[in-house]
Amino acid sequence: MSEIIMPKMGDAMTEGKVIRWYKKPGDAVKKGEPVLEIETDKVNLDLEAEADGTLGQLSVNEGEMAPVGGVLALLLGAGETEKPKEKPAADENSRRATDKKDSIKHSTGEYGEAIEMKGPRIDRASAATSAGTPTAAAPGGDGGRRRSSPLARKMARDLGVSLDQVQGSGPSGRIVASDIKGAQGRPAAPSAQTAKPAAQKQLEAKKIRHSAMRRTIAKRLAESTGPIPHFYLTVDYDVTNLLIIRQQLIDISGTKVSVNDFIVRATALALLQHPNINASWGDDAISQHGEVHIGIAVATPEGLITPVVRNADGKSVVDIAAEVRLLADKAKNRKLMPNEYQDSTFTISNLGAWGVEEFTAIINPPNAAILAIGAATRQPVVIDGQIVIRDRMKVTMSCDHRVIDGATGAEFLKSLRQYVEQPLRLMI
Amino acid sequence: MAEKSYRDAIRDAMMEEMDRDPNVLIMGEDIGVYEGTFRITAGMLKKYGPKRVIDTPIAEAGMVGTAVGMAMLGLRPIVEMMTVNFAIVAADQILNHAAKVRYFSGGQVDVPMVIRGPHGAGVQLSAQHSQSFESFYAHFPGLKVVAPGTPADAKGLLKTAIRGRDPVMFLESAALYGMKGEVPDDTNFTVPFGQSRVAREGRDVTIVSYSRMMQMSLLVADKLSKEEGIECEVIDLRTLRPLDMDPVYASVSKTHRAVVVQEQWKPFGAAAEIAASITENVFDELDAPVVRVTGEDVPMPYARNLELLATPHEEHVAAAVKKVMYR
Amino acid sequence: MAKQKSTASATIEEPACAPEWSDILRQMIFIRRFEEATEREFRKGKIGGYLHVYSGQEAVASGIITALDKGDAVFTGYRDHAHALSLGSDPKGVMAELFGKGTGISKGKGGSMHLFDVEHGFYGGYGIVGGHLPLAVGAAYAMRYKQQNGFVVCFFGDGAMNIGSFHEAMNMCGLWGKEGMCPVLFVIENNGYAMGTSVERHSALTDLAARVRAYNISTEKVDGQDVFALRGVADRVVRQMRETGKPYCIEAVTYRFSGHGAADILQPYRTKDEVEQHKHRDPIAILQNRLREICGLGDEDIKQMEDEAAERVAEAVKFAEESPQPDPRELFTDVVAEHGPQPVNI
Repeated sequence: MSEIIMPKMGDAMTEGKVIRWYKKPGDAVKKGEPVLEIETDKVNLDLEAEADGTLGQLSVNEGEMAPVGGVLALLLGAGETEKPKEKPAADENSRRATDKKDSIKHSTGEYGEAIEMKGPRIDRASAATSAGTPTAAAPGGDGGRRRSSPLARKMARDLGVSLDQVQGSGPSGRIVASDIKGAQGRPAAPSAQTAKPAAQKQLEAKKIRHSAMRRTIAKRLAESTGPIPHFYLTVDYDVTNLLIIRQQLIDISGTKVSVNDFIVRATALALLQHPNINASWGDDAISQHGEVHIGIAVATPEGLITPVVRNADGKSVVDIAAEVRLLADKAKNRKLMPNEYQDSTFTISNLGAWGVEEFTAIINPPNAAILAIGAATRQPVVIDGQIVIRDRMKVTMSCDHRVIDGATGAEFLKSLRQYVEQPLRLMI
Repeated sequence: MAEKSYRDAIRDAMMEEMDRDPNVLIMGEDIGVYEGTFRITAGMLKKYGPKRVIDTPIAEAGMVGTAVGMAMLGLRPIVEMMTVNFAIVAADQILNHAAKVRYFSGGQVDVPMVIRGPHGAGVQLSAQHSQSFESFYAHFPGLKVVAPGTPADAKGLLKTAIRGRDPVMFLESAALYGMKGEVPDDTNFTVPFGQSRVAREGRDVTIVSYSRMMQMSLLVADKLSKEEGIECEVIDLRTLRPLDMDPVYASVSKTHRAVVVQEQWKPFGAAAEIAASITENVFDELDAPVVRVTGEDVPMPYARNLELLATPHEEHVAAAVKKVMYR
Repeated sequence: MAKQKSTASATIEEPACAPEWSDILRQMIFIRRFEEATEREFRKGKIGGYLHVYSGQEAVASGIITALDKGDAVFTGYRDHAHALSLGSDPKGVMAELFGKGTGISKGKGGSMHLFDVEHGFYGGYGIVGGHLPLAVGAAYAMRYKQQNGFVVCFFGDGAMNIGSFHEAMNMCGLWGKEGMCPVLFVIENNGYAMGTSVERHSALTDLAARVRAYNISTEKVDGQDVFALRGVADRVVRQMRETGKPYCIEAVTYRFSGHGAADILQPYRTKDEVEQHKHRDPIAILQNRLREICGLGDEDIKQMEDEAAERVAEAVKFAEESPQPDPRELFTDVVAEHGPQPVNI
């Protein structure tokens, strides 16, 4: 049994008309024999049977329209009978294209035979980056009775001055800022409250010279605890959403993406906001690095090595996943080139795959910190007074106290939390 | 730091990058044996040989198209246009191929290439050799458009262009080739794309410009400061795509007035885009309409007196500044 | 100096039966069934935009592409499904691309005209007639520059030979070829028509290969319906090009059985009779008959190939149907490597 459908005959054709049926239900038809005539907006033509058979019941009568892909009738093979089933006349796509309420159709030839004017909306929240365009204040105000500049109207609003009482000194009597100042008899309020566009955060390489105090802190801490004075901060992140997104990403991209790949990107983005963590201790100065290169601890038979995802802040999770897999393979085969394991500015060690829930890691010099990532575990959590099961993950950051203070480290972990717990931020 | 001309800064950028990366090569008409119409490539054939300094036939579509293919296979070609006017002969290669192949391949290839050459009005070159194309190219997603206004920027931005992963239209101001300025010697000196620069601070009016018109705006700003006590803030956009408007918004929020200066024609030009963005984003900060200073809406004439009338000059900028000051 | 050769299929040595020939037949049958499926799915409204199918020309892509090695690169125009499939692209990914799905080989951003699979050496289908020729020339220069052993195959139709980029590319390739810097195998897929305009009506000189020889590139005319002839020439030329770095051009005289595109229904530029005549020289039938003679191929073997093709095509369609649409965020990716766009609409 096969279906005779309304065929798409033009690049933008969405529907066609049945002019006449040459055959009646029950008639035998041969392959290649014309069965019916259809009309499109360009041509009339005969539709030929694609196989031998018997014509079944007609779904679309003469003079009626059918959407592209819609079934016009069934063609039954030898011994087949028609199943009386409710068959929708078209799939969802073609219905959508022809739903008059949903779309305005233009008839402008080849390109515009059925341009849908009503398109899907982009979810700006997910599509825009955090540095989206600034939103201007609503114009509002006194409207157009008196000519006035936008700034003058805003000042008048802020200062409670009525524009009716002000004489405009600009062209055609336009009220400008100086007129409002004159009316108020005092300087205009500064315009600092206007929402300024947040400039995209850019890192720059720079050295912050050691102050005497910083030197003393460093020396004392080092004397007490060895070359690098470590301290540790542990946090517990909710990774329920991250695990969901990860699964979706795997489904969509078809690539294997690990939780760690998300953490790499999250860390890189958080580091952009905390140049003081993306730093190294030196004899004279703390160097803040101009780029974010994330080292990943990889266990090899010979021992630990940390291949580096360079400029990880500019790479997508999928890119990072591919790169980490490649680097890890190379590491295990001792194929890493020096530029693939040098110059990290921060390191991540993840023992989640071994079921380790929480641990501390030793800083990989000259980094100022390392993250130790534990396994995600299902935990009961109280949210809004309800006990719910969420996926949680413990993360411990080891910090070089000469470079990072407790609060600085905590600030960083707070930024990292935003990325880990709202993983859509990682996808933009 | 050393005092260098805009021309030498461009040559230095290319030669440093060719020394640094064997995948960088340059191709163009009469750039090798002839050493370039503007002598930008003088000495390069001798140093790098004909495989890296390629004299091409007069075939802009051919040279841009082959550069796209080279870039897709991992080279970093620089294409010198004898003048950027000739690049429109290769428009299909630039707009339909270089700018789109990354996208329609779903990101499977990089297209690291630079198309560079002298751009804008010269002296008595008449209609076909005096045009400005920045808004034309900046219209297209997939391209980067750079318009340096100082020797240091010429060097730093060109190095960024060569090291990048995308096709770049690098528009040099022919009139600035001889201009000198301080240029860092460091072979790793680069200027990132998408970072507009405050070229001069001022409290009264924001002048937004780039390339040669930015230099002219600085002269006007100095004159107005001395003669009228008007302090202009001059913003140098440096790259039109990506376009960094944040410093413009910040400046307009301080001065409440903006003048945009471009050499190209007024309709649908770069200044229109900038003015529209200002009104969209900091409307409430404006105390006067944004005013554009542009070239006259005619093909470039040959006669010197007519040519001078066709291009924007200092007096036009000064008049625009006073207009937005209601003076 | 550029030379001209003419290869009637008779001048090719009668090949011995090799298992590879069955693979090529299997591939050509699969491509035919795949293309028939794309037409069906277009008629159902599942495939949008323009759709240009390859039926009738299979011997050209298969004959040339099976002679390539890893590291070689292929460029072609918009009639590009067969080239991707011959290079080994996953048919599921190709069909999903035509369906505009996120699992398509160009992530649903290219469609039928812009299949792309760098991993398999496929540097793209291009939609501007003749626009890809300079790219192929540059790619070949890059390979020689990097001292790689690969070379580039550039397919294009007879219709592409009248546009400027064809001439600029040919001239530059001829020039660079003198220095051994331009190993491009140009393959003219002369199917007789530039869309609906016949060669006689679009080219002042109908000897198309002669127009390439004008650029100091040696040429050869080959029966484009005979995969034996094509493969024989390809094997010989490929070896020679890897060595010399010089370009070469094959004019494959072929015929397309389908319309120019899926919307080309009436085909007023040719008669049904003409199409029927050419169907007597179906490249698949020609290969089948030869393999019956030299390999003892039987009906059972052919049925098995047909069944397998039908199954793989059905699998590809099912995969494409069931795949999700591209993630909306993909709208903004892959535009540039850095400084990508922001959404503009509120």
